[in-house]
Amino acid sequence: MGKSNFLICEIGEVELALSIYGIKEILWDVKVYPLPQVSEYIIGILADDKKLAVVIDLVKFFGISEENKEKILLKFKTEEILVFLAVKDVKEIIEVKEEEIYPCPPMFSSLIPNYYISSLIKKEERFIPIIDIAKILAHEEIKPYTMISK
Amino acid sequence: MIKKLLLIIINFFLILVIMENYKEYQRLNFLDEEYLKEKDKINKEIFLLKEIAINLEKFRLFFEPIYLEEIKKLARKSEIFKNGTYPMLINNLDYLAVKPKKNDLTVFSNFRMFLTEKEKEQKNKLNNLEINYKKLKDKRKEKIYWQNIIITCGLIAFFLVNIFFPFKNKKEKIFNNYLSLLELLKIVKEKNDKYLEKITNWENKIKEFKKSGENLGTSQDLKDIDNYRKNFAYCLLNLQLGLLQKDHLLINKYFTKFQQMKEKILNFLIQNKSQYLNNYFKESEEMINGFKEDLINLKKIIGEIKNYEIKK
Repeated sequence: MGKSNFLICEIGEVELALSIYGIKEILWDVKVYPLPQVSEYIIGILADDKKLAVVIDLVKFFGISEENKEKILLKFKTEEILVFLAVKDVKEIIEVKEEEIYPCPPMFSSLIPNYYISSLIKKEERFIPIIDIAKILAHEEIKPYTMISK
Repeated sequence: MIKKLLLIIINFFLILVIMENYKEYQRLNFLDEEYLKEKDKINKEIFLLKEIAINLEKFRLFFEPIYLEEIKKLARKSEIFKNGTYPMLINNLDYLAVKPKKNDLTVFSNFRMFLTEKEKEQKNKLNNLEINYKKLKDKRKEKIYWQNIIITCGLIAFFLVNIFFPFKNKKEKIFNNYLSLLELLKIVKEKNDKYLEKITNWENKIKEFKKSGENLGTSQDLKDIDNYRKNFAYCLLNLQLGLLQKDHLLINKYFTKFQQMKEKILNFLIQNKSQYLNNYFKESEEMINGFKEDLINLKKIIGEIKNYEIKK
């Protein structure tokens, strides 16, 4: 029986799950340097091991109104991609059994488009959408900024 | 690892000694069999020589061919008479039987001398055999004795290794593999959930006091508490992430931060207690002490994981 681990984050009042695959670190209290003339989803730039990477604001990406300016950053790194994903909060890391994952029904959330939801976690009384990070990073306004800087 | 190596060495050594010990016992049994066989053979020769001597005497006295036949029969059974030099003695007796010469004592005398000499020879042989057998037996027995001592010592060492380096001790079990580290993290997390809950209680109490208009705690205090709690929680999440992804760099980085955070929070809480919450915590003196104890234990566990990770 397969088990997977997910990071439970908050964007606005919405709870969402991200697979821990590729997420290398959770950062807080870090200064993000704003970048001019980039997509509105990109709130700035950050250095990591002498490499620069953009910070993508998931709150803005999903168009959720958010008053709190404080952001928690998730470092997402693969062989070719390095980005920081900004969320409002990271709640916990949970272990999810295969039978706790369900396909997402149409129009599950009015805030997050179904296209970005790969499936749904049902744990106790909670329903948490699993977000497909690859699809966010493939967004035309984000894709050009995700590659690791040389 | 050390234990496994020690056990392999002890077991290997023990097997070798036990095998040698078994072989030695077999050799000892074989030696007994050989000795008895040889002893019987010599005794038989001595008996035959004596019987021949008696019959020879009877033949000398009575000159009855029946005694001569008896001598021949006994001589055929003896190994000594198979040698080519000695049939001559028998031939001489034959000659006497055909032409009895009672006075021809030389033939008898030679024969008797030969028999005495051979008997003496056989007795010496028996004596030497016994001496050699005893020597060899003692040597083998001594070897077996030392081997038994080595086997006993080996078995004692085997038990001592098990006593002093037990396999199933909790710590070793926990550090045995990566999954156990996660188990350990659960313990750390449980403790910290309790810890965070306490921090929240303190925070709420300060808020309550503030609401009630009493000048207890400042906004900066609340902000600090909130910051500490956040730092603490994120440190823990990073630790969990590091363990799940086996990222030792991340684990080490956040262990250090984690420990620093604990100290800061503890100091802050103690400070707060004395400044603002004296009355509220008057009856909860034990809480801080228990709290401190938890942190010390936690520090130990984290230190152990860190050492384990560094060694790995």
